[in-house]
Amino acid sequence: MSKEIYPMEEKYQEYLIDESKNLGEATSISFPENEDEVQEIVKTLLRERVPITVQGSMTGIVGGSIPCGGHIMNLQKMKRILSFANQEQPQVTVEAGVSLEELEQGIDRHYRGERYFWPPTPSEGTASIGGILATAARGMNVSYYGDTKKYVSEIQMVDGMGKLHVIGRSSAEESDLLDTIIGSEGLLGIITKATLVLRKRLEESWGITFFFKELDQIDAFVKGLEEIEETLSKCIVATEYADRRALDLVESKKAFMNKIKELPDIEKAFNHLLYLELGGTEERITQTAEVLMNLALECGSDPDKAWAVMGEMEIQKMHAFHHCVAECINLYTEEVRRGDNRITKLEADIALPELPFKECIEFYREEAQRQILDIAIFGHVKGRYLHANILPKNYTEYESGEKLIDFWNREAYEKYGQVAIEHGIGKVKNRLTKYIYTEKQRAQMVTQKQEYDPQQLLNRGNVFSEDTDDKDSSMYEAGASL
Amino acid sequence: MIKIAVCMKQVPAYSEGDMDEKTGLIKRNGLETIINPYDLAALEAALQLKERLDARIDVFSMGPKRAESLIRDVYAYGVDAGYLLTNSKFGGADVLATSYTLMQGIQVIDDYDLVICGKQTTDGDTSQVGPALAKWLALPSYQGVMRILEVSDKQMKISQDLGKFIQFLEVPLPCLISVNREEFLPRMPSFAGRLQSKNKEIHYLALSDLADKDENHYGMKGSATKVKRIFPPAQTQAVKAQFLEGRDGAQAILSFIRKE
Repeated sequence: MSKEIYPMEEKYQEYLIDESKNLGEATSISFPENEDEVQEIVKTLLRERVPITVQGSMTGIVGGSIPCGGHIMNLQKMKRILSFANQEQPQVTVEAGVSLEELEQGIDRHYRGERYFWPPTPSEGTASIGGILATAARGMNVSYYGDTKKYVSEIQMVDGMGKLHVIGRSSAEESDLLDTIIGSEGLLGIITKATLVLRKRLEESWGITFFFKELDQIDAFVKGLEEIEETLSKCIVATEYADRRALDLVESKKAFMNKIKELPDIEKAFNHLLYLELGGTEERITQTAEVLMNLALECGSDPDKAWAVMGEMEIQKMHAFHHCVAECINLYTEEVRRGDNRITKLEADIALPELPFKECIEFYREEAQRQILDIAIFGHVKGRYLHANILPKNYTEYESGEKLIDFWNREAYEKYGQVAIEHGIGKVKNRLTKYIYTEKQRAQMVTQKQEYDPQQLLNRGNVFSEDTDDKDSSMYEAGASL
Repeated sequence: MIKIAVCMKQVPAYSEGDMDEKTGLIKRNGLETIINPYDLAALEAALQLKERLDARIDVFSMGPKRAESLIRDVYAYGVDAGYLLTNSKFGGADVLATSYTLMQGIQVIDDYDLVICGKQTTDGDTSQVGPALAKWLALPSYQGVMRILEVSDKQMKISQDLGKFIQFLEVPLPCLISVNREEFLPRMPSFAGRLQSKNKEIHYLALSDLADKDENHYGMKGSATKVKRIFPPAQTQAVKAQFLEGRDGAQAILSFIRKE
């Protein structure tokens, strides 16, 4: 074995489980420090046909970094911010193991006072750039700034044969390839470096949190938002929702969370929270805010009780609050797991963009109530990327919850066509691939896999099930029609 | 009506400021700023009092012109009037000069029944401006205030954290108190308040507005102390982790504790 490859030992146990709380297995592990080592390790393992699971910070919630046997390649040591470039738009080149927080700090240090940032802002600050690109992760501002792919100008990728590819946007085909690789969940190669496009922060930012007692009230508010004059709506950078159950979880754990422990408790009478982030000139923000205040009054939300913060630091507190919603749900799962380690995270993250807001909430709640399962709902209102998290108290409820996830995906597929999800497929949802990608799309993915990873060593189990009997979700069957 | 003055300051958001070698001052240009979190606790104490009785809250802040954003911000919380003491002559002030300037500004505006300060700032960390201000205003002062238990226009009952014990006091007004941050968790500024704040006037006080117009009493010239050096604490070297199991691990921990 190469000196960079270590046999699995107890001290590496933490690398067998990620935020999905699924437990994997592996026989060896490596921590390459640069691209050359990545290539060398891949070529070594290729000779022995050992499958490789690539890991960044392991913050994914769909089991993408869980090893299913074979080798773990963890990129956490590839943490260099390599260079900055000031072309038409400032750019920064980083290694894949750099975290979002480290990236932000690096940008702030380099562009001190100039307020540049990388727009895709997934809420998990410790997520690695490689992981973010592999999953095309986004943050709450995606509806304003656009997809993650827009902010990547080049990547370097080691394929399943150990060959290095440099892929940019110098042609339409190359650009398409780059966009395909971003979000392919590591099936086509190991992203080792990325050049990221930066933007200047908006001149001013406000974060307004409205509280509602009734679902009808917030539904009316969302409808009103969507009818708002277009020039004003361009000021709205993010629209986030959290239900009472999600808020209760946050408040139960708030005391242990430094970033939000000083935020006030939310009145028990309020069952729905809607966070709006406004950005732009002071004049535009004030205009929009006045319209929002009138809308809130019409919809039964008291603007005296609504929170309004301004400035980057205070906005970050609001982001931390919303990130804590997801963290608290993960903590809940972890606590229940202590009683039964078969229990893992259960989340549906289906986008239902055609539905009114109220119907999206009811879509999740109706069946959950029939099954007498506890759920917490939060997410992005624009595009209706609302996440329903099942909160089982025991394994019996967990099993019912798994069926509920399948039910939701099936219902969405049958009623509304192809299912779009936000957090990726990974291994946790690979049985649902048939709802998310068409047969043609799955076949195309198989073709690309054949080109870049013909031995199918990389990230087995992601997107496509390893179960060859599952004809709809297995890679082995997907290409059969070609 | 009880008249309350709250002293507040804008501070760097992060502790990354370098020191200007010549002046000994933190280089604040380009640094993102926030309201000193300890002063938000002072404001919260004032707002709680306003909810209990008829009170007016005026905020005083000393800083460059860009600190007007602090006044704009505090209006969103329900402050009645905000005063920014701003002048190039005020820059570089230590505790002595800062407290003197604040005193001058407060006395120009009104006789206050109660002055509330935060425990300290996150950049200066001295905890001395409040007591120094009380001295200039000839007011009794009480630090470490945890609770304002009762209040009337003549006196207050407070609890005070003195470290090893908690003291309950009945104190006459006027006085100055410095409040503990933990007991006065700040509320969120309201949306309605934020919108209304746009129309409220920010009051500027320059040297020419103050009773004492001698610039030698302010800023660096009026300071008795000069910062010699600001530096981050030395980074400790990385320590190699040991992996020990069972009895060996327990024994190693016990030996370590006994050595300490």
